[in-house]
Amino acid sequence: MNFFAHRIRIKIEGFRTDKLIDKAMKVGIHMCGIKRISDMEIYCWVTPEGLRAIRKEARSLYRITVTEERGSVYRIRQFAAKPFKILCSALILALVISQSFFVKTIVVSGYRAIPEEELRECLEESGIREGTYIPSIDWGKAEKHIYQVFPQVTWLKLAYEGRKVFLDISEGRNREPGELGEVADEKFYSNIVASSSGYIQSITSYRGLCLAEEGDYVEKGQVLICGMVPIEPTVYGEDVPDEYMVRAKGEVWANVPYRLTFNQERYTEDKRNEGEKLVACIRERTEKEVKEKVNSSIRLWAAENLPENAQILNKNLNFCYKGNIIEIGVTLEVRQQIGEEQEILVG
Amino acid sequence: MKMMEEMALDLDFKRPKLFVYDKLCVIENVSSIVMIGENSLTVEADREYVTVKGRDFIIKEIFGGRLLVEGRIQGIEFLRSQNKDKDRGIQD
Repeated sequence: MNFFAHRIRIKIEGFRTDKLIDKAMKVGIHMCGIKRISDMEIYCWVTPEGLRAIRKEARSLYRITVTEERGSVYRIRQFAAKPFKILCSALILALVISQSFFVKTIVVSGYRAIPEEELRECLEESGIREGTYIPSIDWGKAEKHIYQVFPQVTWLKLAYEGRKVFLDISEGRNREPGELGEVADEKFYSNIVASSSGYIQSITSYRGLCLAEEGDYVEKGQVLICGMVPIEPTVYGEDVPDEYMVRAKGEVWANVPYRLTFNQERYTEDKRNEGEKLVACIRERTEKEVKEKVNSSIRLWAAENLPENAQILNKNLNFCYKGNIIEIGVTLEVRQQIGEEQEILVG
Repeated sequence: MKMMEEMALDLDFKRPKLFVYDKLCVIENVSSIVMIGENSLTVEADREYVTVKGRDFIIKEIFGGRLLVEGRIQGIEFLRSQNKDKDRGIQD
């Protein structure tokens, strides 16, 4: 054990070096790795005590030179002899230990509809961010805060391992109002779809992904603004979602064509007083009269069927005389909002 | 070999005892090292000289009359002297 704690490699030079080795053996000096270089030169390993004894035996007949020193005790002594090294090591050690008490990264997983940024913001509000002192984090409070901000979260796990904080959540359907106290269900995920067919005049998306352009003809029910937005995952993982869901919001104005048909009597009866007589006379309606009546019918129809902000841009009348009936074909071009929400069903 | 003979050999701490392996040789009961040569190592044990011949010798350990020699061992010779002092004189 002493040999492993501290051993010295020495070079013995002199005449008949084997004699000195013999003497050393007889004295009981522990020697290792004796290598003969020449008749005059030998290398061997001894302990510090052995070196002292061998020097005593060698007297002035041999020259003994220390070439190398090894061993754990020797290393420690060498290290202890340099206080600057100790100071630096202690400083580095303290730095490493102190760093292990602070959050380095936050890993968020399991989210589908809630954006990662919002979850991170929510954690920040609870005092969990990169560089936070881990023992000072109130985990229970943070979990409660997430449940409050995101009612659709059905389960979550907030834990840390080393310097990493892991947030794993599971989302479900939004809760109904009153299910969780005052937290109302204001959020659900939806698309904006066309309420009627028409040509898109302008489309503005406040939230969601536009799927139509100006000038496109869209059918009724076609998705105009999608509530499923593709994302580029920023973390590596197998179950990282490639899209997140939002409640789509936007304005879609379109020119919607309407085709209507009205019928009117071709002839009208005019009554006038001629003295004491009431004279009735049948005559054909003038075009002006027909138009006036059609316009009034259109206004009535628009009030009943068109939304408030609708605007009639063009109107085309086509008269068709059929016996004593006039059939008026009306083509309207109406500018109106056609976007309506349609909920996205998950699962 | 009878058990008594075997025990007598095991308990003999005077005569040289050798264990030779492929590249290792252990010599026990060594009283003195006579010569460390380039291709041989001669030791004395109870008025007997043992010479291990070979190449690239390194004495791995010397402690308590026990030598552990490593190298290419080519042969071992035993020499017995009639007069210890006389023999020593010749060697020196």
